[in-house]
Amino acid sequence: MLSLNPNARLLNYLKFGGLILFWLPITFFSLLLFKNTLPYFDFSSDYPFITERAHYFKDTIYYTCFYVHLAAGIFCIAAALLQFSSEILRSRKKIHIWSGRIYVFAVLLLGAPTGMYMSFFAKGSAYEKGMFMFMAVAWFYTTLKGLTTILNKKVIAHKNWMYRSYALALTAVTFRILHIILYMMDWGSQQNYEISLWISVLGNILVTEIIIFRNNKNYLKTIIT
Amino acid sequence: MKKIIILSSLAFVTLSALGLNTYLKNARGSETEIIEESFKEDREDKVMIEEKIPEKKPELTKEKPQENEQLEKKVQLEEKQTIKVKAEPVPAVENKKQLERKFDENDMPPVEEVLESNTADTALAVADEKIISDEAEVPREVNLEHFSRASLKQPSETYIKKQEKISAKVSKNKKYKKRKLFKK
Repeated sequence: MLSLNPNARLLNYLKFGGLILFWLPITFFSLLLFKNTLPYFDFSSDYPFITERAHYFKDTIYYTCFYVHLAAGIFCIAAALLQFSSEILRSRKKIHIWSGRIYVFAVLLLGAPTGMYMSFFAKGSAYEKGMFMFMAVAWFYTTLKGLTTILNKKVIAHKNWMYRSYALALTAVTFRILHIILYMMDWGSQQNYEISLWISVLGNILVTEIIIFRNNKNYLKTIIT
Repeated sequence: MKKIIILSSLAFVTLSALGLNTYLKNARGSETEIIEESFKEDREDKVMIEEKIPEKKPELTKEKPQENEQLEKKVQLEEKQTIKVKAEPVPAVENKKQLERKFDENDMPPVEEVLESNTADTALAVADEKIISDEAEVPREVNLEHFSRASLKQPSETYIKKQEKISAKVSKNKKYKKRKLFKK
């Protein structure tokens, strides 16, 4: 057994505590989102999201895009939860590879293109539509970058791009958390929607960039590679 | 893996193009819908107006043919009269100078009438009556000329008085200043 000095031990405990504090709510709300999206697959139109956009659901492309996007989202969030465990990466690399393949396939072929189509009909003003378009493009690009970097065996760059990709995937979760918080604070539905969307997207991007900046000596290199 | 990359990028581009296309179609559709709705509203308004204002033409009854004929004749006559009225050319406005001359001549009562009247007051009254009657006979266009823009632009009495007061004050001030200057 290695004997650590008390300071190092405290630091280890703090790191572990921080990781739990970071990942526990993410896992909880991801599973909640997973649970809330499953009922949509009874294909009934009783859900408020569908009733709000009833005229869009008459369009078969929008209809299929919606359900494909939902399915892709479920796969993405479920697969991504396994990707950031260093224990799985060390001892069971195959799980990491296969869940990664599922994630990339779900994002590139299903999630991002359908998200892009749906962004044209998103709720809110032109700015919100633009934000959804940016999200779709950024999600596609970051995931593609993550894939190409690992194919070129650039592990650190792959890690950074996958962080960025997951941050964009996680906006679905953070948006809902913020929406609930602002709803409890008696915000108007439209304002609540717009603010929680902007904060969730920009906040997630900011947090990931801070993490990448702290983990890498040369931050600009992470954007170029 | 390359196949996945190509396929995914193709899917992304096609779906974004489709999205843009349907979005633009919807936008155009909504615009045309708005225009159509406005046209519909206009039509509805017209129908409402027509319903509210029934025509005042006498109704024809099947039971009394003689009365019907009479009524038809009346309507035809009325229509002819209205057409005549419409067809008549509008009398051209006479030369202004000529009109003014006419007024000058007509303003004065005939000499016989003035002589017949014993007092100057009665003569004036007769003259006034003549003027009033002449003014009543003057065509409308001529009367309107009295209220032309040029006449309306003329300053009112109160305005002139105010201006005079202001000018008096200004002149007083000038005099005062001059006095002060001389004193210095």
